[in-house]
Parts: sequence; structure tokens; C-alpha cells
Amino acid sequence: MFEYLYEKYKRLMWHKAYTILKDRALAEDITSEAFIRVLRNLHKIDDPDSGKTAAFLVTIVRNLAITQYHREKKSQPADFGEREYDRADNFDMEETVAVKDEAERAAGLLDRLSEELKSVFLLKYAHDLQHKEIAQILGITENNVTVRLFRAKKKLTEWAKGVSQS
Amino acid sequence: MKTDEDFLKNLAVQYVQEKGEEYQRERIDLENSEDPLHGLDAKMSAALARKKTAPRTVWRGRRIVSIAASVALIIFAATMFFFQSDNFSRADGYVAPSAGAPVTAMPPAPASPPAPGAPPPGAMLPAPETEAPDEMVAPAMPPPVMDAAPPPTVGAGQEYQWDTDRATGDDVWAGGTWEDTIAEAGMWPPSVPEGWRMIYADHSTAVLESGGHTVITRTGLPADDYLPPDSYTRLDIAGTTAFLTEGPIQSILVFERDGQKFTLTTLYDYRDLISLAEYWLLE
Repeated sequence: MFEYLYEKYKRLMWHKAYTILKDRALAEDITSEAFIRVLRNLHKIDDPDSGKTAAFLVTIVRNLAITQYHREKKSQPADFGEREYDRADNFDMEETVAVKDEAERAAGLLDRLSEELKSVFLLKYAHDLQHKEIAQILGITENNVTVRLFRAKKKLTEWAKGVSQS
Repeated sequence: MKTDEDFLKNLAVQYVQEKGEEYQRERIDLENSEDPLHGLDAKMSAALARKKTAPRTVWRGRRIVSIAASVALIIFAATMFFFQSDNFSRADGYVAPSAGAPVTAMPPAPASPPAPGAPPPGAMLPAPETEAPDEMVAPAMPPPVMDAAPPPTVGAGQEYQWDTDRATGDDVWAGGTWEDTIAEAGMWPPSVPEGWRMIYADHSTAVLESGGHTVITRTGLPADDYLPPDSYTRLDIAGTTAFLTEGPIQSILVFERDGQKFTLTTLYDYRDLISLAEYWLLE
């Protein structure tokens, strides 16, 4: 199972890490570390071919890569080329309101969250991990998980209400 | 609350579904890449090897430490037994007597003159049968090594760095104090759920009341984390109702009188706080 996952997703995960870090060796380090964390939570994966599994793996590797990026640069993250960072200030409400499809609406809301908040939120609500498991995967404290989760929920609820009112 | 949870769950599931399909498409595109990723394979193999050997190494290390500690303990016990034993003999030949036993052991008279450099016979010995032998004193043990630095303490007005991973020292989040954190998150002043009235709030604690029920919660945490009503101590002192909770760092007492709210905190046992409150309120 693990070897299958590794062979199937290693390019994708490395690519995700490299997109953030722009450093081949660092991306390799982060990808291998991410796979080790996946290995510890292998029981959480039901179907290795599903989109949910792909999202699970990418969530882990992206979070690790961004944490590494912070450590390397000791500064605010750059634009990673995807709509992943908190853009509450310049968020286009009309754009979100215009989105009809529910899934796209969900993506529109969630992509406004920072990676730190989004990863905790997804691991909790989409992958049904406990706070302790999330803390272990992301390398943060359980208290930090609680606070990030609260922040994410608060923002999403507010944004969703704002969209519906508009 | 239930509706919110359902909404959020639905949001997460939909997001993962959409993104998952997108990632799968991306993965298929990347499979055509000619990059062999040999470096990643090598690092992965090394990481897996470390993972396999790490627990055993740790276990071995612990076992070695355990054995060494056991041996040291046995040696220490044997040494103490030896020094305190009735059979302990001094280098000069003196044998300590058993408790209450007469002194009978004496060095034998040398049959021939002592060798050059040897101590004279009888030296360092008590007077035979007339004086009690010197009390035997075990060699002084070295004093226990104490940590130079005192344990960390939190004084009034200080806050723990709740968001710093103290195990690694990594500032895993923005860092700063809890107060900074909730201010940064825009969670100050704390929001009050519909139907609840805020009696008191500061940077760490909020007391909310509704329909005769009062809850104490940490500021900034969701309603799920409200302490149940029976988890705090309710005090009725001099016509003032006070609510007491015992936190992980300090006890917090919040009470209201004449329309004014007061709080007392202590780093000590919450019972000290009750005494303090009684003194203040009955004054």
C-alpha cells in the first residue's frame, strides 16, 4: 500500500513542494518527510486511487513546505502561484457570489484561507482526523490546532454569511 | 451550531472532492515528466531506514541507561552497606564493635619488628578496654547536584507563549502572547452568542450568563469549549455572587457587585483566592 502510494504520488507531491520552495533538494526533503507522516497515518487512507487521498497527501506536503519556507526565509510567504493565501483584504465578493456551483463555491471560500488554517480545517472536516492526529501530522501543538480550527471556522462562517446576504 | 457544523463539513467535503480530482489530473500530467527523481528515492529510502532503526536504537539506549542505573544503584547500596556494616575494617586493623558488644578486637602484637615505613603498632587505636572506640563515620558523600537555573515561573501580568512549541522551541505560528494572538485574530472583544450576556471578559477569560446559567470560557475559543455550569465553584459572599475557575496556570475569580465587575487572580491554590475574596467582600 505505502509503496503504491509513493510511486503514484511522489511526482505530484514533489512538484507541490517545489512550487513553494523553488529548491529541488529541499523539495525532496519535504516530500520524503511528508511520506513518512503519511506512513504513520496509513490507516486513514481507504482508497489510494481516490481524489480524497490525493487531496490528503497534497495537504500534508504543502503544509510542510510552507512551514519550511517560513523557516528558510523568516518572512512572509511569497505568492506561491495558487490562490492559497489569505486574501480577505482584496477579496472579490462579486466573484464569489457569481459562482453557481456548490463545489466551486466551497473552493472559493476555502481558498481564501491561509494554508495554515485550511490544512487544519480540511484534516478535521474532510479527513476526520482528531486534533491529536492533526497536531502530529503538521508538527504543531494540539492547542494550536484548536485555535487554528476556530479561526478557520469563524472566517468561513462569516464569509459564507456575507456571500448569502449579498 | 449544528447547522454550522454541517455546513462546514459539507464545505470541506466538496472542496476535497473538487481539489482531489484536480490533483489527480495534475498527477497524470506529471507522469509524462522525464525527471527520474532519483534524489527523492534515495532520501525516501534513507528516511524509511531511519524510521525502522530509530525505535530499536532508542530502545537500546534506554536499556543501556537502565542497566547502568541498576548497576550504579547496586554499587551504591553495597558501598553504603559496607561502610555501615559491623564488619567494616579500617586500614589500621581496627574492627568496629557490634552495638553493645565489648571491644575485643585488637591488632595482634607483631611477632617481629615492623618493616620500615610501616605504622607503629597500636597507633590510631583507642586505649584498650578503657575508652569507647571512635564513632565510625562513613565517608562524606558528595552533595547532590542541583540545577543551576530555577524552574520558570509566571508572574503577574505575564503570559505563556501558548502558540510556541515549547518541546522544540519552534515558533510554529505567528508567536506572541495569547493576548497578541486574539487581538491579531480580531477576536477582541470576544463575541457573545445570541441570548447570552457577558458579565466579564478579559484577554483570557469570559464569563457569560443566560437564563440563570453561567459559563466561564477562555476568550477566543468556540462555544464548544465552554465549561459546563457545574465545573466551577459558585460563591455567595456578602450578597455578591462570584464565579471561580481553576485554570492551568492560575486561578481566576470573577465577581460582580453594585454593577461593577472585579476579578482576582492568583498563581496559587484557588482556596487561597476564596479566602482573599471573603476578606475583600466582607471588609
